[in-house]
Amino acid sequence: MSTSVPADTAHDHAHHFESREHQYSAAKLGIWLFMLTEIVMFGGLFVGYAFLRSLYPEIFFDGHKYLDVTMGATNTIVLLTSSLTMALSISYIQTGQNKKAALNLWLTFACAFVFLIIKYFEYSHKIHDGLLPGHFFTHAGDHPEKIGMFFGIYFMMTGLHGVHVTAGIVLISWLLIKLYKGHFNPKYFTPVEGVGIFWHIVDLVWIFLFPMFYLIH
Amino acid sequence: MASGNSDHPSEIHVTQPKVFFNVYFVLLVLTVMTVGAIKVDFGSFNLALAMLIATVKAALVIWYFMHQKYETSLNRLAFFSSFFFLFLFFILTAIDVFTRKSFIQL
Repeated sequence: MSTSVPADTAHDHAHHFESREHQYSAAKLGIWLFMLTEIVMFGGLFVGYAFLRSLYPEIFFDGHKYLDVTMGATNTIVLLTSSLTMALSISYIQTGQNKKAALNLWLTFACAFVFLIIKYFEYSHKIHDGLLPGHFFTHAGDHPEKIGMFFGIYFMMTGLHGVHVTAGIVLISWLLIKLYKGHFNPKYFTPVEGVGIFWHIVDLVWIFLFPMFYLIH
Repeated sequence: MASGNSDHPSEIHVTQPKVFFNVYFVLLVLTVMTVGAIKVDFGSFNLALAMLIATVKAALVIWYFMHQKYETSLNRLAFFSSFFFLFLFFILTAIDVFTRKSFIQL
């Protein structure tokens, strides 16, 4: 790992790698394998959703009415924007434009925060109204039996996603600290790419969560 | 750097910001379409349509934002194999659940 652009190729990589390129390749493979685990983890929940929805369509049809499409759509735009700024920051570091890279990392950070703030309003409203998972469901009204299952699935999937957004915020902060310390340059930007790819997975999951919960017809 | 070889390419592709902005714009349009589609009644096709649009959006994010278009074959295999296994998970479970005579009790 280098903190500046080294002049010689003997010291631009850790000793157990043959070269800087070898180190980079190994890191990228590791990052993609991590994303594989993220896909199968969220994927498991998605498969669960698919079966529960096909077996109990009435609870999904009833439950989705309590989700605010405007807030969900806004959050979708917010995350898509954050993906744009994240990708831009990587390109700017690769071309030595660290100031623009920092600005875009800050924008990504801000978008992530806005997402969590909107989620906070959504969650607190549901908690206030008793729209809670399983037997905690206390909302008065004409609901199908087992309506608590919908909110169990909703909180589980959006909650796990929210945990990932929070982790992303921590990681982006770490990137900003390293960027200001001068750790990244056109020859070394692996952590930025890694966090960036992670962040796009977070965006990807929400791209599916939004129609699955908010746009039930 | 001259020490690169075919396993570890030394030339790394840098995406032009313009490409990112174009993809972003398409993603916004697709989002508007997804929301607009719920106003039209396609019956049971609504869910399939929403998932189809979401898949297109996901493909754009993966191919351009996550830079998979310029990734090595190994990294592509590593990542896309996850979807294959997910598909297996879904199909094998579906074969079980939807060929049962009795409704599963939860």
